Amino acid sequence: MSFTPPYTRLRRRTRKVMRGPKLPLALTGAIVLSLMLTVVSVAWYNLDGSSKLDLSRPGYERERTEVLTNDTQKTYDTTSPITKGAIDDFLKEYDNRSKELGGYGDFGDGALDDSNIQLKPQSGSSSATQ
Amino acid sequence: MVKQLRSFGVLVLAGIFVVVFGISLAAHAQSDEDLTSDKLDLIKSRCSNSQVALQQIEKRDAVSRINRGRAYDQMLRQVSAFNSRFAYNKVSSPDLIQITSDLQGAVDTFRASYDKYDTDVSDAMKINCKQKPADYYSMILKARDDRSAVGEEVGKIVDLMTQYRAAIVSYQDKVE
Repeated sequence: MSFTPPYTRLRRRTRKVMRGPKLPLALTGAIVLSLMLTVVSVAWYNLDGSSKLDLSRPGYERERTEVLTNDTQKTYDTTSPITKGAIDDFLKEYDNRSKELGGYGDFGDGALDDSNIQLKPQSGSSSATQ
Repeated sequence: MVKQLRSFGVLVLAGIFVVVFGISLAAHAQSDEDLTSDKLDLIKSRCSNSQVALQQIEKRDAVSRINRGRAYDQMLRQVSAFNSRFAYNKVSSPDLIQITSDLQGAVDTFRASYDKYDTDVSDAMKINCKQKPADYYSMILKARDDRSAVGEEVGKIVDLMTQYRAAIVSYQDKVE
């Protein structure tokens, strides 16, 4: 029995696999590739902040109904002359949007105050109970 | 001369050290003062309730963030198109372009600030506040600061939108 170096053995084995049936090789390649793509996409989903705004997660059923969706993307005319009428139309839509924005939370309401997160002592009681 | 300069440098460094040390000490003293043993007991006893309330606030804020983000995108699209219309008609409007650029920057900052705030809230919900009430409260304080930064950015966007409107109205008198 003669000694064969590990590199030669590996090369022979690789050659054997390459010459053999291609289907298992193709399947393995496809699985490895799909796993790699899944890892990349999940990492991307978590790192770019999409996961924080994903209301399709379980437990966000009520919030999903509160999100306003606009399926049609409006296109704007960029070549017509600038007239008073055009400015009026612009301002009409612009003011509607400003009004719409005024209806959303503005993050300035002290929502994290102690009283809102159950950390304010109840008046008249010395010890808190859960 | 060199000796004088060296001693002056040492004095300046010592002064900076004293100021920085004093500020950090004062801040530490303030946080200690805020977190009395009663407060820590309260946090421990209401830990679960507090985290449930925090979760509700996070959900509500996510809705505001999504709705605001969508409306800001639409507003920026409308504004950019109108700026292009000015350019196409060879009407010089550097003020509109500058305000639009500031608006884009403010919207980007709003998004980044919200991500930071949301990370704080998520981190606070991961803390076992029965065992680590001080860590929990310190994360709440951080979230509170970051939330107010988001609020400031919302205010800045409102101001810029008002400026843009005023600038457009001023062009109304210049066109036929």
